[in-house]
Amino acid sequence: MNNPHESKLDGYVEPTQQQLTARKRRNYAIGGLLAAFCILVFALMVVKIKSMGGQFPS
Amino acid sequence: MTDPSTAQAYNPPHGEAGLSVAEPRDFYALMKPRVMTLVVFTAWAGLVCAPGQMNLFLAAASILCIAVGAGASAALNMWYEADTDALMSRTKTRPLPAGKMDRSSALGFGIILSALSVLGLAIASNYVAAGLLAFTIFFYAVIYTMWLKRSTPQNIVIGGAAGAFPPMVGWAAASGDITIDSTLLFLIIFMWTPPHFWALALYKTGDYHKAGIPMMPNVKGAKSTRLQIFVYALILAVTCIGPIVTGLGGPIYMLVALVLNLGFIALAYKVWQSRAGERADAADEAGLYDVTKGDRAARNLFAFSIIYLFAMFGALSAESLIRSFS
Repeated sequence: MNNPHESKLDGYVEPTQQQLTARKRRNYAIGGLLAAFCILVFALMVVKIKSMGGQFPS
Repeated sequence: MTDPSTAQAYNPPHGEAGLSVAEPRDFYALMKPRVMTLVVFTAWAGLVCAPGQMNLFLAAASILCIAVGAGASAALNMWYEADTDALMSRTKTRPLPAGKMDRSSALGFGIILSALSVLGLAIASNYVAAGLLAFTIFFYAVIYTMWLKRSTPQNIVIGGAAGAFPPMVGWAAASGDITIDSTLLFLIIFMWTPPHFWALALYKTGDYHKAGIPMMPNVKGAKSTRLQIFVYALILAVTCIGPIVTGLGGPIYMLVALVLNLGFIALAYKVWQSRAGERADAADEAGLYDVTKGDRAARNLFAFSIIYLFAMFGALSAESLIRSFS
């Protein structure tokens, strides 16, 4: 009789250490780039609005 | 045009768990960073030469977006050409043919970067520049990569437009306009592209033949290609007079253009008179600049053409900067 805890995912194969390391690095890179993009868009908005004479509350 | 057997040369890298082993540096390689430097430089030159002033931060952000757009189109190109890249000595170490990532990752990466670069440029500069960038990505990925490259030996003549757009995009980012001067910058790269790529194709004939890509030397022969290289070198020299006539280029540009075009024509003449591309054995060297005897004239022109473009746009930019500071 199968142990229900062992057959949670049928056909699941344990990823190799290399695959896990690569995934971790990809995740960090995606996170970093998304954060950089958000900061860039925010900074662009501020500069553009200021250059058009817009006022920001101090 | 592609041999159906080429599809077997590409082995998708699915591990047992179906998890990719691609690292961030593989995605960076997907953006063809070496080509990107030329795109960034010519776009910067277009931005500097354009009339009007631009906030430094916005200018830098615009150049970044153009660079990312170029990287996006390169990723889409590699996604589509994974099969043929696997057959060429020059391209078989790229992330996809080397088995470091699967095609869907490259496709997703290319599409996301395309969207972000166009959106970013629209925010940083204006819709004209963003529209031009979107069209450039479309032209390179769809018109050139998917259609022209595998169907006609004129592929890089027409497809060369994709590489010629960046200075126009840079110009539009600064001025919001498309003018005769920005079109001249486009034309210089457009006329430079055929001799540049055909010089490479002459000593990489075997590679292109193996991949089934109809480059000019494979279809019309080496002799015809060498003559066309020389003719294009003459047309390029005539095109370079344009900026002098319109006033975009001054004495520095005039001097640089004179020297470089004489050099370009001389090297193109040597290619025409050589036997480049006529080796009995069609085995190509692995390196971009490695050649066997007989192909050196083509290799020299290829290497010189890269310096040529940097120097020409460098001269135009320098002149424009001097003008704005004086």
